[in-house]
Amino acid sequence: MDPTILAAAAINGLLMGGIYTLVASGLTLIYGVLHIINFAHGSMLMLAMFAVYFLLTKAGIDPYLALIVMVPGMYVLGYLLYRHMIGKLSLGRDENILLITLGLSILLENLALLFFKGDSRTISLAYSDKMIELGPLLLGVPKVVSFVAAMVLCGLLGLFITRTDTGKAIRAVAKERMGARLVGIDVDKVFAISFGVGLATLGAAACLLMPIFYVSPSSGHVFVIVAFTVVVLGGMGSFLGAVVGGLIVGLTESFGGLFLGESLGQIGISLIFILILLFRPSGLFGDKR
Amino acid sequence: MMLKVTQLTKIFGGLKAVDNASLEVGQGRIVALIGPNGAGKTTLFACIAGFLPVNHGQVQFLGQDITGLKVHDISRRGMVRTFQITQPFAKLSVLENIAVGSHQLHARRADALAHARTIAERVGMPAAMLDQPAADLTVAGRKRLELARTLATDPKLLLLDEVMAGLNPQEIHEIIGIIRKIRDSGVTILLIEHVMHAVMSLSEHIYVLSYGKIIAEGAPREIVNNRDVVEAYLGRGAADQMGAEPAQGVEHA
Amino acid sequence: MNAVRSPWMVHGFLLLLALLFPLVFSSPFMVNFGVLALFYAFIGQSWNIAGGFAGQLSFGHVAFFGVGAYASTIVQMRFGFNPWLGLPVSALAGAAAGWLIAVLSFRAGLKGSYFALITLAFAEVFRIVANSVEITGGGLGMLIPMKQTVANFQFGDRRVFYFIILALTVISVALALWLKASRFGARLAAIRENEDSARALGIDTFAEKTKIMMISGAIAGTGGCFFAQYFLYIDPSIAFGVDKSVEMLLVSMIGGAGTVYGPLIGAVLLAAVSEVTRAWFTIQGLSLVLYGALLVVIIAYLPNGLIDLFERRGRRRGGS
Repeated sequence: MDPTILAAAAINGLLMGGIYTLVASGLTLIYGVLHIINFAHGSMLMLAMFAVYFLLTKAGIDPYLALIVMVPGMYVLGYLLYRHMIGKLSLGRDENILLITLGLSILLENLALLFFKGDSRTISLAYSDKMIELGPLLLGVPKVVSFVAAMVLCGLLGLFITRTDTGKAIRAVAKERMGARLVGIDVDKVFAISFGVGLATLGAAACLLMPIFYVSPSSGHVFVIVAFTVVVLGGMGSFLGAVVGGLIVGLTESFGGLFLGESLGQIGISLIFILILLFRPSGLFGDKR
Repeated sequence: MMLKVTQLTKIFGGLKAVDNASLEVGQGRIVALIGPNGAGKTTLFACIAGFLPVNHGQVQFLGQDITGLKVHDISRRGMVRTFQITQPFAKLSVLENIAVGSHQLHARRADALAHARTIAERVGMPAAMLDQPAADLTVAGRKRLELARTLATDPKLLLLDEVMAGLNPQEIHEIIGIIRKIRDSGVTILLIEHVMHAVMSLSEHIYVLSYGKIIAEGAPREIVNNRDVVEAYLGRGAADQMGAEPAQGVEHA
Repeated sequence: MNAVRSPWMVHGFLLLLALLFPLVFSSPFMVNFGVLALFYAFIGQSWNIAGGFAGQLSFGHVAFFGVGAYASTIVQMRFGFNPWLGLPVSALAGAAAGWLIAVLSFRAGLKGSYFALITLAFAEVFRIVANSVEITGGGLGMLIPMKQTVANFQFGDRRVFYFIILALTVISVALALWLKASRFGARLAAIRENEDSARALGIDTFAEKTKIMMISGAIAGTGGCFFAQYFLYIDPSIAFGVDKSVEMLLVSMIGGAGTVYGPLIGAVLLAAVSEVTRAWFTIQGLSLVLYGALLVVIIAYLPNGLIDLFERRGRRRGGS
C-alpha cells in the first residue's frame, strides 16, 4: 500500500481523534464526578450542532466564532439542566440514571426529527475546500483548524481541572464525595458545574465538527458509540485516557475505513468497545474496580 | 472434620489481608472467629466460601478439597454464608426470600413456599412478617431473614458473619437461643462476632484473628485471659495494665 | 374493592377480547393496529423476561430480533426453504445469538450499565455486518416477493396475521406466567435483586442468566420472522437499528417491567400513540418524543411502570 495513503489515513485519523477527545472529555468528566453515564451525550451534541448550523444559516455567524456563544451558552444550559432536572432524578440505582438519560436522548432525538426533519445538513464556508500541504499530503483546512482548536481546548480544560480552585474541588468530589462534603465543598454545586462543563465541551465540539461533518437527528447514535468507546478505552473518569482513547479511536476509524471499506470499516469502533469491556473494563488509565 | 482451613493466605495489592491462617471446625460444634475490626475475618469467610480466590492454602470441607470451587458449588455441598451487611432480595417478600433457599431442595414452588414457612417459624418470625417486602424490614428483621434464608438450604455448615450486629439485648438473647437450636438440629456453625457475651455463651472453641493472622485459639475462658488477645484489641501494654497472663499451652496457629 | 377474582378469569377474559377484536373492528387500520400492538407486546415480553424478570437490562435486544428476521428470510430467499420453516429457524437463531452474547458478557462479569452498553455494541456490530455482506443483501436489504398463499406464509386477509401474532403472544404470556410460578423464575428474581446472595444460596447465576437470554433471544428472533413476513422487507437499519431496542425496552418499562402483562399495556399504548400520531398528524417522531418523556417520568416517579395504577389490591403493605 502506498505509504502516502497510509500516512494520509493516519493523519486524518488523528485529526478526527482530537475532536473525539473533546467530546469524550465531557462524558468522562460527567461520569467521573457525578457517576452518571450520560446516554444523552450524543443527542446533546447533535442539538448543539444544529444550533451551530442555524447560527450560520440564519445569523451568518462562522462556526469557529460561534465558540464564543456556544461554549458559555452550553455551560449555562448544562448547569440549569442539572439543577432543575438531572439532580433531582439521579438518586437511586445506576441503571435508573442510565434509563433516564436514555429517555432524554430519545426525547431529544425525536424532537429534532420533529422540528428539523430527517435530512442531513452540512455547511459550506469560504475556506471549506482550502487545503494545507504537509509534505506530499493535502489536508483540509477546517480539519486542521478544528484539530488544533480541540487540542487547545482540551489543554485549557486540563489546566482548569488541575490549576484552578474550582478544578480542585471537582477533582476532590470525583475522588471522594463524602470527604469533599466534610471539608465544606458544596458538592451539589460542583455537580452542576461539572455537568455544565461537560455540556460546554459539547458546545465547543459542535462548533469544531460542523465545518467537517454533517448533522442529522440520528447523529446522536453515532456520537454516543464513539464517545463511549473513547471513554471506556481510556478509562471512565480519566482525562488522559480520553486524550489517548480519542486518538486511538480516530485512527481505528480511519484505518478501518481504509482497509475494510466504508461500510465494514465502522466496525472497528464497536469492536474496540466490546473487546475493552470484555477484557479490560477499567480501560487504559481507569481505576481497576 | 467438617471444615479444615490450612495456611490460607489472601493478598490484596501488597497487603496480606489473611496471613497463613489455619482453623478447624468439628462436626456439630459452634466455633467463633473473633478479632479487632479490620483483622480480616470477613475476608477469611469470603475465601472459605469461594467468593474470593486464595493466593495460598487449602480449604477442606467434609474431607474434600473445595479450594477454588465456585460459590454456588460450595453452597450446594452444604456450606452457606451470611453477609455482614445484609443483602436481602429487596423487592421480594420475606417468604419469597426464604423460598429461594428452599428451592435448593424443593423444585416445586408450592413445596418451597411451604418449607419456607416452617423455616420462618423455626427462626421465630411472626406470620405477619412473611408477606412484607424484605426492603421494609428492620435491621433485626433482616438479620433474621439472612439466617432463615441460609437455613432453608438445609446446610451442613453455616458461616454467620456478625449476625448480631445492630441488635438490641433482647434480640441478641433471642438469636442466641435460635442459633443453639439450629446447632442442636445438626448444623455446624462458624461465626464471626463482636458481641462478646454471645461469643462466650455460644462457642465451644474460639479463634482470634489479628492483622490477618491467627494469634490464639482455645476455649473461651483461655482466650479471655490470653495476653496477645487482649493486646490485639486494646493495644500494646494493655495486658500488663490489666494483669492478664498468657494461657498455658495455647497453640499459635 | 377487594374482589378476589381468579386470575384465570382475567386471562380468559383478555384472551376473549383479543379474539373478538378483529371480528368487531375489521377495518385495515384497526387490524393493523391490533397486529402492531400484539407484535410489540410479543417482542416486549422478550425484553421483559431478561430485563424485568432477571434484571439484565439490555439496550441491544434488537440484535436477536434482527438475527431472527435475517435468518428466516435468508433461509427462504437464498436456500428456497418453506417460509414456515422460518419460525423455528428464527427462534433457534435468536437463541444462538442470545447464548453468544450472554456467554461473552457474563464470563467477563459484566452487569448493570456495562451490560446494557455492550449489548448495544453487539447490535451495532450485527448491523454493520448485515450492511456489508452479500448474503444479507447489504445496505439494500432483502425483499420477499409477494405471493399470498398459506404455504408461503403470506396472507391477503391481514387478520390471519393478527391471529398468528396473537398465538405467539399468548405463548409468550404463558411463558411469563410459568416463570412467575417456577423455581427458575424465583431464581431469576433472586439474581435480579442480589446476585451475590443468589450465588451464596446455591444458584448458578451464570447458567441461569444464559438460559434466560437464550429464551429471550428465541422470542425476539421469532418476532423478527413474523415482522419479515408481515412487511416483506428488511434491511440493516430496520433489523438492527436502535429503534426496536428502544421500543422493546420502552413497552416493558412503561407498562411494568417484571410483570406478566406490563409489556402488553405498554405495547397497546405505544401502538395507539404511534398509529394515532401517524394517521392524524402525519408527523414523524412525535410518538417517540412522548415516549422518551414518558420513560423519564416513569423512571422518576412510577418506577414499577403503569401497572402500578392497576394494582390497587395485591400491593403488600408493611406491618399489620
